[in-house]
Amino acid sequence: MIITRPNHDSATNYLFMWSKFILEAASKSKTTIVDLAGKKATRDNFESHVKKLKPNFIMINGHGNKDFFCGQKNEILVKKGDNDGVLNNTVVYARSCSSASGLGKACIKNVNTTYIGYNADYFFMFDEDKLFHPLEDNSAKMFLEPSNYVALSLLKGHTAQEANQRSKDEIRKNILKLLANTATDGDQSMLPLMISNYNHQVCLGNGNARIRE
Amino acid sequence: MNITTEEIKQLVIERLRCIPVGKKISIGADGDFTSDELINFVETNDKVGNKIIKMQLEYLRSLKDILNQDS
Repeated sequence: MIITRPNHDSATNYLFMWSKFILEAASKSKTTIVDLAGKKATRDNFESHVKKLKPNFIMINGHGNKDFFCGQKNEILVKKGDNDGVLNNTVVYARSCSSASGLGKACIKNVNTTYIGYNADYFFMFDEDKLFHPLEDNSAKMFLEPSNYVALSLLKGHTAQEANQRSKDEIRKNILKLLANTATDGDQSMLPLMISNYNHQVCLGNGNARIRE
Repeated sequence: MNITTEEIKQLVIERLRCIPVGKKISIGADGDFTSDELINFVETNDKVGNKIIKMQLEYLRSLKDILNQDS
């Protein structure tokens, strides 16, 4: 698998840190990992590693919009109509805003490609006091742990569609927790963000694809 | 009963006031914002403010659907 982990701002640093659990699981399952962390998350590096490794799973962390997703310092890694063919024959999970709606749709014209991502902005809440300790941030955990489930489920052998659904089930569990009487108004202010992520997390293309048998 | 745009904005602002001090909302490449910053965006019809209004309305509309789904 190839994973990109830019870390040039608060949001990408949170995704960088929370991807640790995915890297650990991949390592345990003896998956070959190329970790394009920080400054390594460039277009040249990304393209050359994909061509060399021919991975069956690509996990993207970073900013994006409907037509592209980015690496370090928002360098565009893959853009619709430019170099989207680099994602052919893979399962992609793009934890970035909106890229499923344009880039993802373009990618699945190749019938062997699967694109899991978001067709709107990806939101999360974090605690400013935990900026330098993202893994101790219980607000961010409510968002990033369920999204990690996509990759963790794929690594366990689930299909892409199942992985997407398992992740969404985890978001829903957190939504139900927050609706419980014990949640404060402050905690409940996370609900609209979670519901948006839930509604807009999609699996496009070959939902039966697996990255391991 | 029809609800006006101003009433919707007021409703969203009241909901944003519930975001605790010290918490920020990450909205991708748009940045990370406090409750006060988001309220300001809504009041000034900023692009981020419009995203927040859309998200809050989507929340109110889809809560029932999510609760009704089989787990």
